[in-house]
Amino acid sequence: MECRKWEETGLLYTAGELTAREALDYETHLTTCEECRKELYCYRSEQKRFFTADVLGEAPSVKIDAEILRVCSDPRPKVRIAVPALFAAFLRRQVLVPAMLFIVGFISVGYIMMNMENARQMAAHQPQKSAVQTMTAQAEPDSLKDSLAGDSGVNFASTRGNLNDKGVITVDLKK
Amino acid sequence: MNPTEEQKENQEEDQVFFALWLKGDDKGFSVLYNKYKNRVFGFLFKMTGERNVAEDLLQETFLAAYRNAFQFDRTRSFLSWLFGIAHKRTIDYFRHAKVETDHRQDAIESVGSRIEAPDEELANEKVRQIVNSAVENLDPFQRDVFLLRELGGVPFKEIAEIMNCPINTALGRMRLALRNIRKDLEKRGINGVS
Repeated sequence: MECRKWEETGLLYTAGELTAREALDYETHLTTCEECRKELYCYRSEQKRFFTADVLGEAPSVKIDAEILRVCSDPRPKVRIAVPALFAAFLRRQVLVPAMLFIVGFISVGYIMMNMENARQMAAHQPQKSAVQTMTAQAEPDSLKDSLAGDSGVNFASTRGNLNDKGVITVDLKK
Repeated sequence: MNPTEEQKENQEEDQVFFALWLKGDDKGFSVLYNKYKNRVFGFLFKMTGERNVAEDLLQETFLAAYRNAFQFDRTRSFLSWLFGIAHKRTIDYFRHAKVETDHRQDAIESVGSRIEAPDEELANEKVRQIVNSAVENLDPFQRDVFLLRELGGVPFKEIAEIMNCPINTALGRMRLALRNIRKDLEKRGINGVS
């Protein structure tokens, strides 16, 4: 039966991916678990003997070496590479969506504030208009008031609408 | 010196050459290329099983690194980043060619024939071939994790990201890979501990 700690923590320990506290805990575990101790010893030994670049690595052909070195040693077109690279980084780091949301939010708030300002200005101008209307009304001659009263909607039905007592409006089509 | 300190030193050295490379100094690139070409090529060769394909992918990997050098996150290891690109190229290759099974089979057969070849003058070379054969006999996922970790020094967290799987899956594959390699080596009379 294998100790689960080797898979869960031992491999991370050998890769140096544990925090200092976790590493210390695992080292404490090693003092009591023979299985983990053996695994660690075997793995380190294999790493030294077999899992090296000399054993696992392969050399590419000289022709490919020369080709890669030639292509990648050309002067770097900095501006042409830098602009798409920056844009790619912009996309890669997922800045685009928050940035767009911010812009949309900014425009919306601006629009609302602009409308509020307009409403405030209209409200501020409203009393002046009333004052003008009041002055005009005061200046109107009485004769004009009387003539307008004759055309008011209240009197229209009884005087010019030909409304009979049954509530039906008769219309003379010959006219 | 424990491996972590060694890795840190290596990483710092890589950063220096990488900075030179970005400034347009050829030496920066050539040092990094010569330092890591065998590891990357070893990975590509073992993953594809064909030398020509691996060489093409090696070229593509370094060209992609050259083109995207400005995107490299300096807090990461250069080698891990390079292996991330190489891994992506391999996946793209298999996706387009759809020849994984055939190539794997060819690779295993070709390695098998190499081991039987009369090359016993160099014991180290034989051990090398046996180890490589054991690695190539692994399940593709186990081989992938194993090579990324051992050749590329890629942290398990990044391996999980690269392979799009939980970290525990990556650790499980690594454990199985180690166990299978050990069994294979023992079968051929090589003991890892001795």
